[in-house]
Amino acid sequence: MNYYLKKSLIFLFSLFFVICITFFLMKSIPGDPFTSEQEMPKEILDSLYAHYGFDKPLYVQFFKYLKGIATFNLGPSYVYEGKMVGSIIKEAFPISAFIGLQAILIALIFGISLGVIAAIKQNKWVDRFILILSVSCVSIPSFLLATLLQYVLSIKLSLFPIARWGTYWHTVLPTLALAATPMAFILKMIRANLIDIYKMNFIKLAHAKGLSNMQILIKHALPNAILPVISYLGPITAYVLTGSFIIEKIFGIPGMGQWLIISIHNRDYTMIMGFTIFYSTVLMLSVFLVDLLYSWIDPRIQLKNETKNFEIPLP
Amino acid sequence: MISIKANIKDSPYYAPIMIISIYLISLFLCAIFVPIFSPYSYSDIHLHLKNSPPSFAHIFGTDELGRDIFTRTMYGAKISLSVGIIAALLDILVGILWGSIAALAPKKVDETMMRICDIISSIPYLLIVILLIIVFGPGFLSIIIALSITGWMNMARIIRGEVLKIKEKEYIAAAKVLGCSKWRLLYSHFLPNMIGPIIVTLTFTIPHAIFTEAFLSFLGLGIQAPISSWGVMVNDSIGAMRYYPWRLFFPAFFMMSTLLSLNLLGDFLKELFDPRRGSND
Amino acid sequence: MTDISINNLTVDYGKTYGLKDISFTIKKGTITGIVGQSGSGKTTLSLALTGLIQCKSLSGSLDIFDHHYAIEDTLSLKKALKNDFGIIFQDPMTFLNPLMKIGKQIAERFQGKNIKEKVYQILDEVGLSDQQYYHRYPHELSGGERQRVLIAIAIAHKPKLLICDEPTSSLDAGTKKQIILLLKKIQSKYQMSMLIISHDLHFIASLTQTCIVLLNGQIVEHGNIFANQKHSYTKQLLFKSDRFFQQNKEKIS
Repeated sequence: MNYYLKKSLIFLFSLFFVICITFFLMKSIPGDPFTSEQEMPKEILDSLYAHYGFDKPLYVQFFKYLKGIATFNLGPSYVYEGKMVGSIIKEAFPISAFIGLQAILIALIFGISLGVIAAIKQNKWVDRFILILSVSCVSIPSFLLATLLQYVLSIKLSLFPIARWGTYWHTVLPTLALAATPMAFILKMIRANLIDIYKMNFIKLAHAKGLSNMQILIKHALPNAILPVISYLGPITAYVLTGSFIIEKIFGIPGMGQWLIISIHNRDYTMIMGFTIFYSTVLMLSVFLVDLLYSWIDPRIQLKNETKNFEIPLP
Repeated sequence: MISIKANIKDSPYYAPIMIISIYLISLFLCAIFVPIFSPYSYSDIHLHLKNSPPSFAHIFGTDELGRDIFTRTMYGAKISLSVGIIAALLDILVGILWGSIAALAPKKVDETMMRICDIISSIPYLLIVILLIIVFGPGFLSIIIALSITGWMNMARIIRGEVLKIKEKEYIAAAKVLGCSKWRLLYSHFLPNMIGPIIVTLTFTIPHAIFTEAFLSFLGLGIQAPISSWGVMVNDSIGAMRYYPWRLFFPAFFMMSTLLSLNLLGDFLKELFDPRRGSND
Repeated sequence: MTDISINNLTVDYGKTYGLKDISFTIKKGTITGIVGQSGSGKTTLSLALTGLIQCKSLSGSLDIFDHHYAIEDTLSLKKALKNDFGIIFQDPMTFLNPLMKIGKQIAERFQGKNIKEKVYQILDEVGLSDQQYYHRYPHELSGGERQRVLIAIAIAHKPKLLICDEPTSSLDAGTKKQIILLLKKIQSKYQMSMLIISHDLHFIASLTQTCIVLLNGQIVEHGNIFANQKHSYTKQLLFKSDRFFQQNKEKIS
């Protein structure tokens, strides 16, 4: 089957699967959003149920919800009167996206550069230092790093604003905290790939052609080393998406993460469902786009199942 | 095994590995014995001593309810390590079963099983975990179940790959001809070859589980008070870090060191078991 | 002087010697073969000459026409590779960058203007005349075509010496023949001297005029070994392919 078609189908099917799971999980929680509040007269409860559609059978509610998703209507928040889940996402997502994208960019830039340096100076002290640094970045959970950065750079040294949102400087520490782990992963990948690639024969031939070391690195080694990293962008996006929850909490940033945490505390089910589905969609879309990107760059991926249309005439 | 010993000294991780092993073993012992022998329990409240800095009586200080932080940190070690190890073992088990069944099954079954694996992998695992915790309610057991449901895919893929590779080899065909049952094949021929990847994955899954538990604690969905996991202790002390930094420092330090040690150990083991090492170019 | 000579080439791996004080001369325009069993030092020789070898110590020199190169000096060898000799290897796939068009990979040999023209020219020389080949990727070519690409890269600057290390070992019989014809054509057109390293005696016999036999890193014999063998080892080597030589005794001599 066509590569793109296959990937699109997997994407849609996975998304549907997420929606089902999320919906039925939420509905399976005993009680509903209103039972925790004060004793309400039955009539009010009943009218609330009718208003939100709880009185209808489960499959009806499910189809109603599906219909809603198709029209980008994720329903109202149970807790915040009058606010729609969709509008909250519209406000909060750009903020989270900004930090997330910046983090990925930083991770790529520093991950690749440091990985290259580590590979070139393999086993010397520079390499070992970079390796230990990268393992540390992987091991320090982003929230601990965020706390550390906040404590040292904001509270003690007053270099950056402590929390909240406003200027560009507010984005620096959250970005650094998020970027550390992906940067370390990319670094290790690039280093390992480069070490393997330099043992390969086509590099030897490049030497034999008389190319300089810099030319070999940039034209031959690096493109081959970066290729696997591209397919890794999917998991990195996932990490950044979920990591942002806590980073936003620590830095008081009004992004998606903070809203999700509040919704979890309040047991605001439509919010939780809406956010989960939105997150999953964003992630799956990114993975899909990354797959596309990869297939464009690597000439070896067969996009369609057609035979090559030129024959080699044998002399 | 001889070639493995010869290569240990070459690894850039050699010196740190000695330190790491000592640290992990000590931590393990403390996690078991400190809660038993400490004069304080992890939940003993001494309000008159609340928020006091490290002292002779309380070597790590006390928290906002006057509880001894040293005892709580070591108890937290017990909890965090237990969560990590149990969840990791379950993940490995499910992964091995899933992967080997998929590899040995007919093609259609294999494809379906791996398709399911792919679909679950494409959903951010933390979201699934959060949802599951909301449904089951927070607690030790819920976390372990949630981690088991979301963490087995990697191991399954690796095991499936290894089994497929070995499946084709001649000595398997020979054993089949001699009448070996499929299960016997699995355990006596396949598994010994896969010890390497299994141990490496295990070593990496434990810090992953500890991280997830800490993450959940930040959302209020982790282990519930008064039980102290490192995640809970860190979450409780962030707000007070300006005034009582020791409350954050100790659990954070141990969490970081443990995660760091396990990850370094995993890297080391990965290099050790890599079949390409030791080959000349 | 139009001869090529390897002088006193020694490769020391520490525990063993890869090559021990090897010296021989190649007359201009001739094809010399190097045979020997695995481990005799055949590949060590080609690796040493390209400066790609990893060993404890290396010594010796290479004289190509009037240019003298010291083998332990990798920079000087690189210069030699650029201008005076070319080399091709077994298993061409691994020698090509999978992400780069082959036209571009050949173009790296050229500088200045009209590089594309030069690439088309050299592709034509090796029998890949269709200009489409410029835009192909290595995985899109057959084994024989890839080997032709490697040959194109090697002879781009019309070097004085072409070294071929097991050039046809990974090819099927039909393609082997084509490559042999190509090499012969190149040799006669450019009067290029060639050094062919192989364990395939059939291949060597059909291509070379004179042959060097290596054993444990030393030269045992150098001459037309198919006509007469001076050393007992050479005799052994030839008559191991007993059946072949019984059948083809007339063709060879």
